[in-house]
Amino acid sequence: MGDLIHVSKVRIVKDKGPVRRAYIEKFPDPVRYGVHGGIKKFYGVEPEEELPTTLDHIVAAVAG
Amino acid sequence: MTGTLAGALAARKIPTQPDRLSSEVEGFIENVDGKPLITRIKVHYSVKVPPGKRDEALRAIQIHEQGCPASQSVRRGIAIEWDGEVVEE
Repeated sequence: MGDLIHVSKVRIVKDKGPVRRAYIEKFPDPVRYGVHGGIKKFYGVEPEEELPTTLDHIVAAVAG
Repeated sequence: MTGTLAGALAARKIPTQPDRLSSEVEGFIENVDGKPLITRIKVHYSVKVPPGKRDEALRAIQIHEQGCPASQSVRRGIAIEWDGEVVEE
């Protein structure tokens, strides 16, 4: 397609239950993903800690 | 996708934590008509599995993306690629 401008590099680590950590290159603090609300009900899981879903982050990123 | 793969592995009784499943991801941002657009995301998994579970893990890697809501939400506009390496412990 077009000329490459940037490559976003991320490392994902799976934790307990639905929790994952995303480490974005050059930023030490991870973004944490999990489930809550309708997504929690949809998958029928009860996490120890409710966290925003990856879908929440997509919505936020598009709107941000 | 990593969360969905974890679910696919769990369904095959393959544990994913602690420190058994991770992924390295690259998102390619290109100049498309003067705008920096994400055109492709490439995910590379690293999975550690118990002996005898390698083939099941590779199958999970092969098919899990069909069930990933995040990937399925964006793939109409962004190409999604993935592969993985599976090591028996």
